[in-house]
Amino acid sequence: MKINEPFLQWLREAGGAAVLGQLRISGKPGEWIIRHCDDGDEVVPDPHWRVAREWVKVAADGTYRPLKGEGNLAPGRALGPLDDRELLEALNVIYPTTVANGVLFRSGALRITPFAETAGRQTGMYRIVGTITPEQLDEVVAGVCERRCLKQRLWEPRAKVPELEGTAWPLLCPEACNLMVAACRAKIKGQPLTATED
Amino acid sequence: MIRDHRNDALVLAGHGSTLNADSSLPTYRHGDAIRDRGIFAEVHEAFWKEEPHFRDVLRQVESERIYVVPNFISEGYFTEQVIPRELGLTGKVSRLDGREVIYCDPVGIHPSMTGVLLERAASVTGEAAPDPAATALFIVGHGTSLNQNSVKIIYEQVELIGQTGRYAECQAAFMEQEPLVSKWAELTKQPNVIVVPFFIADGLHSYEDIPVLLGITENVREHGFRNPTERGGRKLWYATAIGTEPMIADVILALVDRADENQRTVSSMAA
Ligand code: SF4
Repeated sequence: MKINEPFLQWLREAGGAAVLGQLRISGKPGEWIIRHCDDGDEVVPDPHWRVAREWVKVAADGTYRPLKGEGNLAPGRALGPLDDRELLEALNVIYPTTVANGVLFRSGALRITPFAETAGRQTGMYRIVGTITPEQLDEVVAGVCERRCLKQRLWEPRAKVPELEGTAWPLLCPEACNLMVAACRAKIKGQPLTATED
Repeated sequence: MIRDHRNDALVLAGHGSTLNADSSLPTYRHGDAIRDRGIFAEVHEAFWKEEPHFRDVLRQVESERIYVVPNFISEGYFTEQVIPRELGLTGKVSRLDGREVIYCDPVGIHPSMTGVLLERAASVTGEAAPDPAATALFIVGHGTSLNQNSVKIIYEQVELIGQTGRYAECQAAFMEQEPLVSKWAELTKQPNVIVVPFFIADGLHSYEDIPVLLGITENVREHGFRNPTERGGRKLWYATAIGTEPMIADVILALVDRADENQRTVSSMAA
């Protein structure tokens, strides 16, 4: 399945002024620059894409970011110039599977997993998530997905219909992530939604 | 490598963490070491507790042949249930949407881990290496009823290292079952002791808990510890988790080779 080329084509057509979550991508093939939307062009880009792993790790207040779609990516860093491959590696670190999800969605090939299926698949300490009530699920969706995450959820309740026009690449969530599933477990057990265990 | 992988993908599957920012670091390091060698068309890391999740990672892979190597210390719940279920695997070789996904053994069970353990033991003492004939090597695991496979692997490695005769003694010890790592001073009479934790990442257990159990610090974060620490006239060295050893990249490649060999055997038997 070709994932990367359709995205790069979209990026070229966006004229080097694309937005992806909290990032803006400028430049041209071989010279892509990734910046934080809150930064101007004065931040000196780092040419090593692997620095992206440090960038996504902690928020501006120094706390760990286990949820990559959370809107707390710290400004003050930039990456580039990157070639096509390096750009894709960096984006897969900052917003994992976002390039692929967008390409598959555009071609109608992105499979959306209803929450009941995700919950029913869990075993071990997460098996209990299969017993969640609609009210509890609603609260977790509101408290985790809608409150913290920039992604557009494609599964119910309150699924979103993404905009595909323009120079913004969508951040899509086709299936509940483990952090959300863990929050469901906390909810069922009467703990705060942030009560995480590994 | 016994096969050309320039059109293939490698996916390293690690545990990751929602609490510890450095848990995924060894998986990324090994991935980078393999990227730098240019053996595969693409290398991806995926995690249970971090993104990309096991469930999602194959969407961003373009290659038609994909090798999945679990960066886990033993077979168990994650390698036998979680990873196959989340990736949708049907066996050692799966056909998914027209692609071939080859599921390899976890890192910790490859025979070459013996060499990795010996390397780690040698590197922690560095130039001040003690006389091996007066040194005990401990391989330390968690040890719970949850996963007795990791206990078994440690005993196997202890046996193999014992056979090399490299150290006067090699013993297994555990955090939560006998023989307890906290009793190291009773478990051996050797004047020098090297302790290597058989863990994938320097998480809470190997980084914080074991040094306290060994009695070489009261709190690693506040006081750190010295290598070696002198205790009762004896010297003790404590290594970082075995999974952080750079040689693990070679173990991962050896696991890919092993999967290819197994496939070859299966297909020649079928022929
Ligand atoms: S499940 Fe919720 S929190 Fe997790 S990625 Fe999707 S939208 Fe974000």
